[in-house]
Amino acid sequence: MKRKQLVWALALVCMLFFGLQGPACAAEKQIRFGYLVADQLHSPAVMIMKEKKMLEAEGFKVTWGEFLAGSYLMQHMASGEVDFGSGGAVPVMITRGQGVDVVILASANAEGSSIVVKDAIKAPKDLNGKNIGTPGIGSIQDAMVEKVAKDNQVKITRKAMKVSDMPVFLNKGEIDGFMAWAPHTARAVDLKYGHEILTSHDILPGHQCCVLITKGELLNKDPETVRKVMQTYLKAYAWFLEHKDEAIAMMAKNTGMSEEVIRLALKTVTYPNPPYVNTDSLKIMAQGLVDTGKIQPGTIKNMDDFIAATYRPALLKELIDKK
Amino acid sequence: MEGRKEQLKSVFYNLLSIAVAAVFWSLFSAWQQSPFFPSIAQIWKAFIGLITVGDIEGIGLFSHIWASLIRIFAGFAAACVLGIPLGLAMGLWPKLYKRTRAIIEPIRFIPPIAWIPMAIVMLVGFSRYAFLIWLGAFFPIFITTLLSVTRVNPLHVNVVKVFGAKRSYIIRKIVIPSVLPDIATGMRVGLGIAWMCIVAAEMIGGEMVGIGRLILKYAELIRMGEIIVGMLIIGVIGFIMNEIFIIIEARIFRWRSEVSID
Repeated sequence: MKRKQLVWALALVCMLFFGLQGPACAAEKQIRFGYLVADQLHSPAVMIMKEKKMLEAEGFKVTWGEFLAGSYLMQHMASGEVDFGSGGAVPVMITRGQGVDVVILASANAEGSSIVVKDAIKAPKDLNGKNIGTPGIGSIQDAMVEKVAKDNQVKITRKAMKVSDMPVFLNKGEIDGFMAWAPHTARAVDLKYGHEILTSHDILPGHQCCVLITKGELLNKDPETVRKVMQTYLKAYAWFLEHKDEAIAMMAKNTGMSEEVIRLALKTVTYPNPPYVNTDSLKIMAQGLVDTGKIQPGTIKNMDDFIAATYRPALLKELIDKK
Repeated sequence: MEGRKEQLKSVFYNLLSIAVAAVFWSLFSAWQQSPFFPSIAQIWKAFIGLITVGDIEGIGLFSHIWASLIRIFAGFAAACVLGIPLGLAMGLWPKLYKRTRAIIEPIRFIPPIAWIPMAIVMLVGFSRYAFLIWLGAFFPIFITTLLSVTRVNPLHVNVVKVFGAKRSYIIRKIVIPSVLPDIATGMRVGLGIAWMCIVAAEMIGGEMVGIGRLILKYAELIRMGEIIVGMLIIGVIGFIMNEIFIIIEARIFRWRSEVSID
C-alpha cells in the first residue's frame, strides 16, 4: 500500500514538474543577454529591446544581466553564462586573444567617450604625472588614455574604478580626471566637478566603441537564433534613429539622469547606419593592445585574419540586403 | 626523538599532498585544454614574469604583496586595538553588552562588501582599505574575547575572592591570563577574514597596487595564469602568517598544549 502511494506521489510530482513547464514555455527559446551599467547611450538598441520586450515578442525568454564593464561581461561570456551581449570592442578582442570564441555581430555605436579633468588642467600636455581613472585595463577607455599618453609623450597613471564612482573620486580629489563612456562624463561636467578636455573623437576619429556580441559556437550551431536576435536588434536600432526624443526619455529614466545631461552626452556619440563595424579602428586598437601587452605577443599572427575571425558581418549584411 | 620523527612525517605527507594536488591539476588541465585551466608550467611562467618583468603596467609582484600586507596589518591592528578592550569590557560588564547589542549585533551581519559604497563616499585612499579589513577582522576578535570572559572558570575567581582579592586583581591575575588563548584564537580567525577582505577592498579601485588589484587586472584580461599566481600568493602568505601565529601561541601558552586531541 505504502509503495503504491509512493509511486502515485512520484507520478504527481513529475506531472506537476513537467506540467508547469507547459507547451508555451517549451516553445520559448531561452537566451541570456548582458549589457553594461548605464550604457544605454552606447547601446540604445539593447535598451529598446529590453524596455519594449521585443525579444520576448519574438518568442524568446530573456534573462538580462548587468555588468560593471566590458571585461566582466566577457568573463561571463567566456564561462558560458551569457549568450549575447553589448559592450566595448576592446574587451572582445582581448578575450578573443585569450582563445575564447567570442564574435562581434554589429556595431552599437561609435565614439562616445571623453576625458573629464579638473579645471586646472587645460591641455593634454598638462596630464603629465596625473592620475586618470578608467573602467579598468581591459577597457577601450584605458586603451585610449594610453594612446593619449603616447601621442602627447606624457606619463599618465591610470587608476581602475567603477564608472559610476568616477565623478565622486574626481570631486574628492583622489584622481585628476577620468575617461568613461557617456553619460558619466556629461554628469560630472553638469555637476561642475570638471570639464571635458578630449573626446574619443579627438583621440581616434570614428573609432568603434560598443558592439553586439555573441559566442562563435552559438553562431555556428544555432544560426537561426542569432538571426532572430539580430533582426530584432536591427528593428530596435531603426526605432532609435527614428524616435530620438522617446529614446532620450527612456535613457533618462534608465540612467536616473536628466534629459539635459543625456542630450549633452549624446553630442559625443555617433550611430553608424547601417550598423557596420569600423574595422580600421579595430585594427588600430588591436595593434595598441599587442603593443601594450594586453594581448600577448605572438597571439595575432596576421591582423587581417584576427579581425576577420572576430568580426562576422555576413549575417548583418544578409539582413540589410534583404531589407 | 619520537617528536622529531613525527614532525618529519608531517612535512613529508604535506609535501605529498601538494604533489598529489599538482598531479590532479595537471591531469585536469591536460584533459580540458582550455585557457581557463593553465598548466603548472604556464602558472610558473606567469609567476616568473610577474617577478622579473612585473605586471601589465610594470608593477612588480613584491610591490603588490607589500601594498596588501600594509593594508592588512593596518586593518587588523585596528581590529585588535578596538576589539580586544571592547570585548573585555563587555565581557566583564555584561550589562554594557546587553544594553548595546541592538546596535552591535546587526552591524556584525553586514558584510564588508556592503560597506563599499559608503566607504567610497566617506573615506579616502588608504583609510578605505583599512576600514574594510577592520570590519572583517573586528567581529571575530571582539566576539571571541567577549565570550571567553564569560567562560572563565568561576572556581579560580572564587578561590582568590576567599583570600580577599579585589576586582582589579581578579581581572589582572585571573581573567586576562584565562582569556588570552581565546583572544589569540580570535585574532587568528580575524587575520584569515582580513585576507578574505583584501580582494573586496581592493576592488574599489583608485589604486593600481595590491594582490587583489593584481587578480582583478588579469581577470579583465582573462589571463588565468597570473590570476592563479595572485590567488596562491594570498593563500601562501595567509598560511605562513597563520603558522607564525601558531608557533607564537604555542610558545606563550605552553601550558595549553597539555590538552591535545591526538
